[in-house]
Amino acid sequence: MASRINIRIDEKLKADAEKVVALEGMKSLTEYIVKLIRQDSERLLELHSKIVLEDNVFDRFMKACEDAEKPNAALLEAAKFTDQSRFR
Amino acid sequence: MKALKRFVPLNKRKHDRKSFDCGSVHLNVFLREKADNHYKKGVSLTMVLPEQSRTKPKRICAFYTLSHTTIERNSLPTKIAKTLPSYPIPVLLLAQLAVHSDIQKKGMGKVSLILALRHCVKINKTLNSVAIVVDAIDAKASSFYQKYGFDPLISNRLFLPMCVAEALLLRKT
Repeated sequence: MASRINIRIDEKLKADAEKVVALEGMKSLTEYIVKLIRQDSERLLELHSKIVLEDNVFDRFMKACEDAEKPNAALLEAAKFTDQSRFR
Repeated sequence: MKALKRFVPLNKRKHDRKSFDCGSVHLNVFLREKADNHYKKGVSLTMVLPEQSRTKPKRICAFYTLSHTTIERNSLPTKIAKTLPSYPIPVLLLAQLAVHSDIQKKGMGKVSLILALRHCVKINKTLNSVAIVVDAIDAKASSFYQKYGFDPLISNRLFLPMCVAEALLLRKT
C-alpha cells in the first residue's frame, strides 16, 4: 500500500532533480526520490542495526563472555549503594 | 533537585526534556529531539528518572536509553564459541546514560548504571543477549564504565557479559 509524503524543497534543487529524471529516463520525480530513499535507508538501517568486529576482536569478545567472572568490587558496591538509597 | 526512586519510560507530556542539562550537548539534544521519536519508530527505549516535585511536566534528573543490536564477525568463524548459537550474536545496547549537572557527583551515575543493568537483565529473560554494550561518549565516560568492569570492545564501545549483570541481580546484600 502506498502512502503520501509532502516535501519542501529548494527550487534550484527541484529543477536539478527534474533534469536528472529526464536524463536517466525515469518516469517521475517520485520514482527518483523513492529510489534514493530505498538505497540510503537500506544502507543506514544496516549500519545502525549491527556491530561488525574484526575477527580477532570478535573472538576476544566471545571468549570474554564465556569466561566471564563475577561482578567486580566497584559494581557490587554500586549495587549496594543503589539498594541502600532505596532506588528500585 | 531531588530525584524520585524509580526510572519510568520517557513521556514528553509528563517530562520536561528542554531543561535537562548534563554538560554534554550531544546527550542533551538526543533527549530533547530524538529520544521520543526513536521510541515511536521502534529504534530504542529511553527511561527517565523524574524530579520529586508537584510541578508538571517534571524535570528529568537522569536518563538512559536501551536498544537491541547484534555483533557480527567480519568473516566466517573458526572453531571458537562452540557453545553459542549461530551468528549474529544478540546484545543489548546501553546507548546513552546521563545525569543532570545539578545532581552530579552524588552517586547518581552509578545508581543509573545499576538500574539500567537490572533493566537489561529483565529484558534478557525474554530477549536473550550475550552481553551489554555501552557507547562511551568520551574518555571520562569510558573510565567510568571500566571502573565497573566493562571491557573495551571497539572505538568508543565497551561491554559487560550478561552473566555478570545477572550475577549482580542475584547477589544478596
